[in-house]
Amino acid sequence: MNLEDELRKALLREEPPAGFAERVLARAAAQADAPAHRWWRLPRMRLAAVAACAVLLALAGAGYRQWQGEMAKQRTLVALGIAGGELRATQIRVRHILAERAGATGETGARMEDR
Amino acid sequence: MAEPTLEIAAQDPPAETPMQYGDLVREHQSMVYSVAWHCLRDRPAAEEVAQDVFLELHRRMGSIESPAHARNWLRRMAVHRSIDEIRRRRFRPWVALERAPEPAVPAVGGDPLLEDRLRRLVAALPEKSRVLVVLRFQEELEWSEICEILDLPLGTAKSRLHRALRTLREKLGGETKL
Repeated sequence: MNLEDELRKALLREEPPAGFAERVLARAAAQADAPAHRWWRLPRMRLAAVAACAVLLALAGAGYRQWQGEMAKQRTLVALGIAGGELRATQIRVRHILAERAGATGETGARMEDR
Repeated sequence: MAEPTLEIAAQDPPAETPMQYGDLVREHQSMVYSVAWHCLRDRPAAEEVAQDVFLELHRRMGSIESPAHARNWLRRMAVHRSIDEIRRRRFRPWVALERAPEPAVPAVGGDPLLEDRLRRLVAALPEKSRVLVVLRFQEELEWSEICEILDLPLGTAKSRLHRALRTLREKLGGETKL
């Protein structure tokens, strides 16, 4: 007895279950009648869609961070503007007070400021 | 008259008519199904693989040049789809060969039990060895054809088959003298 001969006997071709060819032909006909493949079912298109989503997400993330930076800059500028305005108002008030005191004592406001 | 015949032939593409596709299915169904069946040992899965192979052929009928081309294409596609299915099955529960129950009756030469045992052992070989055994002993292909289908150098293919046969002999050693 020879293993190779036994393998040839054991691995003889077998017929598929009854009606196999008819089932294949029916599926082939249905496939031919069906509209073109839906693009998102094609593996390459799926991959492209995933890649496009990843790029969009990355761009959106970068855009959001840039927007946050711009907003922070605007807020800082507004805060600086308010602080500057307050400073100027305080300066004016101080000058007025000094001028009033100088008027009362006969000294000029500039001298009072120098002290 | 020669002209009408030529005209009919020109109007009738050789590989695209449903009738000829049906002929190809009927002619090669046992080859495609048997490759899948001997690789997978699962009839529903083998039928599914075989159907997929023929549906793929239907989609590619335009590029099939001759009946021989169709046969080789189908064989190659059946082999590769079967390998894909074997790989997918790695992630599903399965019973290792060592744990598989032994046949109740010891197999003897010429016995259908021996053939069944051999088929089980072949189906438990590593995927490329399994396909190699099927191509060599079911399809009885030449080495050059096997190497082309499996994309293997001749030496690798031969040594892989040698190892596969040694494994089969070892597994069968306790039961029969082969």
